[in-house]
Amino acid sequence: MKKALFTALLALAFNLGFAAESADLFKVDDQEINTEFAQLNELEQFVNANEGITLEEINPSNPLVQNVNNSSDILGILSTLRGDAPLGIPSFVWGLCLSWVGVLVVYFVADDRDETKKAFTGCAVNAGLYIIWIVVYVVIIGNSFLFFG
Amino acid sequence: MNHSSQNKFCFVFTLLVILMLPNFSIGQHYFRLRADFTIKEKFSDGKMSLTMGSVLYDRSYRKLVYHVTFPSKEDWVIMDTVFNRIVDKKLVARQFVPMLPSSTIFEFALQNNLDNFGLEKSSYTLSKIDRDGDMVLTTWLPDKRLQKAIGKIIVSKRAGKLVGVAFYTPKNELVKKQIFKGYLKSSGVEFPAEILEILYKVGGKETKISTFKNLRINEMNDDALYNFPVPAK
Repeated sequence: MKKALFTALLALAFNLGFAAESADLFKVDDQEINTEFAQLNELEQFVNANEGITLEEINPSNPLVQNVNNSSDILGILSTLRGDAPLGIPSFVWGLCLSWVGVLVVYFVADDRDETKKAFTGCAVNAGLYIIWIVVYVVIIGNSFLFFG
Repeated sequence: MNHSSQNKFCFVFTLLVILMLPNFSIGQHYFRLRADFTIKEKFSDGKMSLTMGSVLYDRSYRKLVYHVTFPSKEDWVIMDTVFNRIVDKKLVARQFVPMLPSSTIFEFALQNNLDNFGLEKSSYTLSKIDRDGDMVLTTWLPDKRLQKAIGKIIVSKRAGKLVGVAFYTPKNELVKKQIFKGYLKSSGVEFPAEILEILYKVGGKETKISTFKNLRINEMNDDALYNFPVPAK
């Protein structure tokens, strides 16, 4: 009886460890979103009513443009269209393979401090490997030629 | 009509049907998409952004073109991982973007592969399927060699349509989720009318709403807009 109870508890613990994903993950409070975007919704209506108008042509004192950036978040817009890491390649690998260029790519694309740190770590590993290669090639192999020569 | 003539007629008819079959399949080939868009963003520092215009994508030209009308009039052309910003027909900026137009939701929609966010043809593999009411949630894991660097993706579908995508770090922290609503339908292609995106950053939450309307598929006019020329610098 005790063995059966223990086995049942163990099975329950095992199943709880692999909890199913919940639809709550994708639940959103539409009212909260509408409130948050009230100003931008009004600005959108204003722009639609004044076809062809640009931000520059709107009076800066108009409350609809308060706190509105004067340029688009281009990289943010493009990031909506694809997956998480740039081209699906981890930030660390960007830094490892492309050194400082990879760090810059992640910095501008991901626009995230943590991702940029990972790219920087990859870049540091790249530099370290390069130094080791120099040591091996120049010091060890180079000296071995002297020995056999 | 005698028996021999009937047989010949049936043979010719069958042959014609077989020869015509490729034409029927070509009619299902979607290669071009266009829609008007509005993108509203709220950043963690309290700043906001509104971008409006139209987006065009052509699979044969492999170009993604944005005709932006607000906040300012300009054109963006993305092809072969290069982003070109054109103002008054002059190239004002060019930069590398690690993104191919063929790996965007526009491509997925034209391939009718949006329901799994294109993951079936990626390096991700399906790991788990859960059901919560009328929603089916699938968990996708990256290649084993990359699991220490990139995290899982959870895709939710209702009645076969993509509802949401959630992206995680290798430590199972939620970094971004996208919710797709109100599908537009045009010529057999479906595309979300709204994409709500929430980014969870160290500095706070950022929200973006992309809305699309006037979806057009395979339109044959305005070819020059789809193949927008990039001026020399």
